[in-house]
Amino acid sequence: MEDHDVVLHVGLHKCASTYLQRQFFANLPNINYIGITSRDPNLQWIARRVALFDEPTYQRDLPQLKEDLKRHLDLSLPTLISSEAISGTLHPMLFNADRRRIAQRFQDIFPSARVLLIIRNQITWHQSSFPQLCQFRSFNAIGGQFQDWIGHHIDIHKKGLQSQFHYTDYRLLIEIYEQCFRETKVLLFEDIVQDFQKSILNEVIPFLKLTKEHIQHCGEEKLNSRHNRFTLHFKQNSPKLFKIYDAVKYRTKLWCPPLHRALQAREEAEGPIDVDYLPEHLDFLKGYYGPINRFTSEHLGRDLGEMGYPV
Amino acid sequence: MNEKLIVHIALPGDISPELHRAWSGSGGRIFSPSTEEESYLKTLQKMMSWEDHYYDECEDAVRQDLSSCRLEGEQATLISLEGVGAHNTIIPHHYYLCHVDQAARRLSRLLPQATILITPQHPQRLFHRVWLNLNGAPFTNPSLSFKGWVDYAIEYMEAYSQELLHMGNHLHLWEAFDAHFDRVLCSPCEMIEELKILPLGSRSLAMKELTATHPPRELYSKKQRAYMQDFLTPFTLELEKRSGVDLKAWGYQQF
Repeated sequence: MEDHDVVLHVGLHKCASTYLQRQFFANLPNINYIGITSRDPNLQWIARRVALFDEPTYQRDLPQLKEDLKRHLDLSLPTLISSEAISGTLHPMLFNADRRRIAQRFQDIFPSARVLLIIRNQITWHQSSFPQLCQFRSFNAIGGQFQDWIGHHIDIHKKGLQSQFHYTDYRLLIEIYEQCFRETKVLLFEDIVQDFQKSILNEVIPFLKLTKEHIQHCGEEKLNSRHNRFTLHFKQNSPKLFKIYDAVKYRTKLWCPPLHRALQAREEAEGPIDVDYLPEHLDFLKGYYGPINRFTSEHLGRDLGEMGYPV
Repeated sequence: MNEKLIVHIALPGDISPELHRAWSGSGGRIFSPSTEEESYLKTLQKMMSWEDHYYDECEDAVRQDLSSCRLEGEQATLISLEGVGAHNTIIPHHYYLCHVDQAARRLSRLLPQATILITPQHPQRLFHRVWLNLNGAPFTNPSLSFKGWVDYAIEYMEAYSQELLHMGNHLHLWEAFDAHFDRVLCSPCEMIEELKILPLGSRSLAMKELTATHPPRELYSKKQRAYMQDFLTPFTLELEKRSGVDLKAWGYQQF
């Protein structure tokens, strides 16, 4: 695997990862695609086996993992790995390894990998994460409203514990990946939403070392703006984020039908989820994320404040 | 360093209150959430809340806080540490708790001479307590039945492998600490409750032939019981072998 051409897509949750995985990555020809939507079932769970386990369990699995990769990857083709789990973001039901350790594990297996990291304005990231959380049956969707949820995490943060907010510290994420890999490309979710085709054609495809011709037969259908439901519906429905899920058929994820039912039940019982912040919440987020985003702006040479990020 | 220092890796709903009472009653010193030395314990628990890249930066501060606990004395001292054995299962999606192996490594750097006490519980009892705790935690769904929750756990187990049910894998807990500490005691909660004894002295306590008070068996469905049995029995057998504790006598193989 030393010289194998690998791209690691570090999709944070709620940064268009599922959309890319389903509508784009899974349809790419001439590439080994490792991800939940991979057509090869042997490759679907690889990323999670690297990211989700504690060290003893991971080390026990590692020889088999390497064997599976050897058996199922065509090393004459480049490899694309995409999973939200790689980001190590706190998830209701997953025990991620530490984010730096996840990156080191991938570095150990694919030392020549390049990284595609997609980040999103933290204000809308939390707003979008909350409805997703409400899908989980263990989560009390009825009593726990968004404002209580954010307030709860601010309390956790003030108690000196690691909270949800740390996972969207992009300064740290970028540092981790830049330290472990030779090239890290950062894309903004907002750019992708604004013009999906342009982002894919100008940013993602060249980074994957593909050409327009490579993807022509799958691109016509997937990249034509007439069919680009994500972009169109996002513009129409924003900021009512809950409805985006309908627009992108988020709930039709094949691998978690019970969650789908849970969210449907909630929708029927309560209607759309309110994800408005209290003014003091916004003050907190600005105070916490401001220095992080100003540093990231400078590092990327891009004014994140102009894109709505708290600075 | 105090050689009579014991760190109890508490599990949800286990015998902590009984253990604390017995320990205090016998004149031992105790650090637990119920004592006035709470701030030190909280410091220790904060230690479990951070990813390595954050924690490594604050370890000196934690060490300094611990040094003011005067743990180096001669008095038998028990530190009761909650959350470590439970991963982030009790309060999922609330805040980060490090994995058990990370906690063991960190503790061994801070308190290398400590004796670790693990108090397994019968898996059915453990999961029932977890479910009860879950119902009391903020943002958790109070209408989720025990059977519904176990189904949920099994479903995620199938999808992601290392999930809720791993909490019943006491071998995992044992191995993590045994790798870093010279002395790891393993005393089932049921044994401590039944025999009214403290787990001091030998690596594993001599067992009496007793009929354990088994947890109510009607909590699981037949299918769930079979699943638990298949999943947990190999770990239980291996833990028996490694720790020398006869878990079978306490019903750990009866689901």
